[in-house]
Amino acid sequence: MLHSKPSLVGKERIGVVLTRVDYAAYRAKVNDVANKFSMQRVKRALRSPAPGEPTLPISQEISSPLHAQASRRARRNVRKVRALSTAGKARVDLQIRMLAAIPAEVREEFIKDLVEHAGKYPSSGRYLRNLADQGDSVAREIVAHMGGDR
Amino acid sequence: MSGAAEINQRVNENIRPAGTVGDTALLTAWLNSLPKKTFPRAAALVKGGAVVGLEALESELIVAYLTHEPVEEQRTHAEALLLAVLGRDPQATAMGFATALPLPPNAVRCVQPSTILERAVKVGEQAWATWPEARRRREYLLLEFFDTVTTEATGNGRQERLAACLRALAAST
Repeated sequence: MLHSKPSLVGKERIGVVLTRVDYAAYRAKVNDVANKFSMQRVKRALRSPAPGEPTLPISQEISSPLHAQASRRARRNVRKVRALSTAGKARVDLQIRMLAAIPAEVREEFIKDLVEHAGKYPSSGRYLRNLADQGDSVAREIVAHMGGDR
Repeated sequence: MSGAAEINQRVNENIRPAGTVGDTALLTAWLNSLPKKTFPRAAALVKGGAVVGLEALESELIVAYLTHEPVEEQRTHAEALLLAVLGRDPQATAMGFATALPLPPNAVRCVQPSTILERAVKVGEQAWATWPEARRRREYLLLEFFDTVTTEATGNGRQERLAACLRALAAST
């Protein structure tokens, strides 16, 4: 027996469920959760470097204030490139996995998202093209929508 | 039992992964705090390590979570168990810790359990059309539950949202 009433937050969020759920609402929910889930993985990848990734050797330690500043900048740049690369791959890999599982007729909207993202971030486009070259059929489908030069 | 533990499920006589609990000692402490007469399957899970009658186990765990709220450090592990039970394969007939329900020796151990979200993305309009309204509501609520547990670790109103979702799931079964 459940005693307490749902809070306002809960009522608002699941209001649609208590009446009637149609397929469009369900798909919208799936898209929303999939997107949040993949973004969460990206954030996690950005927070921590992948295990086994090389760190800067101790010999590159700071020796003068000017050197220290340059060195800090260099380390920050290295970290940024590495983190974005890991995160981008995680995002694309997850989305490709999701796409592979989605019925072909509803893939279009996800593909549009990925093509748009690849347009904004060339490294993402390059990664997709690499996957397509390696024979990934979903990546090929996306690359076909991308068009343009490499 | 202490430390992390795998949870497995029996599906068509095969044993498959269903989830992972980070700290079984904390989970067991919560399950042991529940009245055994009211929650017999939860008690059986602690005692025997595995349970059949998963719909009943699901109902018990939902009511237990809502009425005997786990303390802060037990919460994650109670939610991991709920996620495994609610996210089970629809054909699953039994569930338990790997000690009682081990994977077959030739199983690939790195295979991750299929999640609620992974199953949801495969649902096409034709399959949806064949489901009764109660099943549709349940599938939507399962997604809501998955979303709350896995993507809203500390957000405002997380507990309220989770509780409302569990209440709706309990009401829909």
